[in-house]
Amino acid sequence: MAMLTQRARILSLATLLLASASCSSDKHPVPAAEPGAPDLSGVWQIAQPLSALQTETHEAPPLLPAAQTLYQQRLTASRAGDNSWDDTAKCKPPGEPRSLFEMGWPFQIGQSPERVVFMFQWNRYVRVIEMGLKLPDFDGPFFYGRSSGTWEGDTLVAHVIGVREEVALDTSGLPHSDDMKMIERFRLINGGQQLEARIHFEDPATFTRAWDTVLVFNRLPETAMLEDHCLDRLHLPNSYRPTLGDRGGAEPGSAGKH
Amino acid sequence: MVSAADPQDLRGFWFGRGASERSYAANDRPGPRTRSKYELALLCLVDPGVEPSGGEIFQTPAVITWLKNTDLRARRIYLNVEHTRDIKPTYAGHSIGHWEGATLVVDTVALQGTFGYVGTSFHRPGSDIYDQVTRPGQKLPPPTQYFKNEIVMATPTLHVIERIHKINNGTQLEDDLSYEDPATGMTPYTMQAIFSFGKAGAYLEQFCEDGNDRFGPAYAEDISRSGHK
Repeated sequence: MAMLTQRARILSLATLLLASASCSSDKHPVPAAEPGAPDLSGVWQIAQPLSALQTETHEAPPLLPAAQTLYQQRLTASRAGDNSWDDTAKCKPPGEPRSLFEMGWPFQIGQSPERVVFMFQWNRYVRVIEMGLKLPDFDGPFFYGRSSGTWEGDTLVAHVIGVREEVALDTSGLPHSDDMKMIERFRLINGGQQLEARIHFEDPATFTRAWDTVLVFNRLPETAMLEDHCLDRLHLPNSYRPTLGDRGGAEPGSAGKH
Repeated sequence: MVSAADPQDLRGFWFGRGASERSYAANDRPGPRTRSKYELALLCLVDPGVEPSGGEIFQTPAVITWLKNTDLRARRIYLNVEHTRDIKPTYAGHSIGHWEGATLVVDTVALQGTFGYVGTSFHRPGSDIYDQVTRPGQKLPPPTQYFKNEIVMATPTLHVIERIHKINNGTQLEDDLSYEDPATGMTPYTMQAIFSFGKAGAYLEQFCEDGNDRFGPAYAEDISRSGHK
């Protein structure tokens, strides 16, 4: 029965996803690009690999004592080879914002007037920023939370709530609570060859004050996304495993140069 | 940049309505290589890109990205390039495409993993697809047992050609697929899927890997038992 339930959950996705969907008979149904909004589409990779987030001024995040204790426990466990605190070891999603830089692997952005979709190489997970979504006071919690986006000039501003407490904010295990709120600001820099993400964290249950971090991503060729199946990667020794720098045999310059 | 009025602009959300009544160009059952999709799906294996599924299409001059709504995983079609050398088989395979007028011609190779139609939500009793993958004389199972039907496995030698184009003033998308796998003796066959343009509601996250903590060392054993390679 449990297996049936699991399968039913998988197949119910389409129903859930399209709960408020409708078909259209418009003669010109293809959406126009949103006027004035920059196009963030492309493949991006963290410019400087990292495992632990720092503040904008390169300091450790301002953790409250209880959160600091939890963080130290995770660090100690990791040093001892114990990753039981980390659900990514079970192939569960790294969540937000960790997925943006986990293992240094790239992600692809797809953009429409209705949403901006982050398609991560890491186990092919997907995170969505719904444009103009009305957020409740609390939602979820979800691995990637619930994100509502707006355009402020050249910047995509995403308000994020409801990120699961058990999802660490980074690879080192930086904690947070279910009540954390994030504001992410994405914009193209350096002539569109880089993407900047300024992330603002507010979580009075975890941090002594709100704090910001800045991440920078390099644009990669659009052929750079490879397939990753986490369960195979972890448990089938001979399975296909994308590696950092592996481009799947893509011919240099054969496609996707942006 | 693609434009809204361009027949080569496929951007938008396309709902899988399943196969039309013209579905299969016919022949017999697709082939002898069958496994339980039900069982494979429990292992969080993914459907290959060549299993028609509705979803959202993103498009750049270099890549068409089809975010399938059955598993929220992306399929990518690289435009105007050749298949890369020494392709490693993957669940999505390697898809390349080019435009022939208003038709996107897609060539997919290097597939592995599951493949099939029974069990997906849009299959209806009596549809050609349903009849095609159901054993002759087999009675229609109740919906909860759809998953127990056998399916065709996608192998690295499976070759799929698709011709995708808009119909009905651009409100629908037609995907004509042909499958052949001479290396395994599979009977070549064709099918057709129709998708309708629509407006999707907000995505809700749901991940197979979150629903089952049993994944671990037993995974390899489960994979072996399932017959998946």
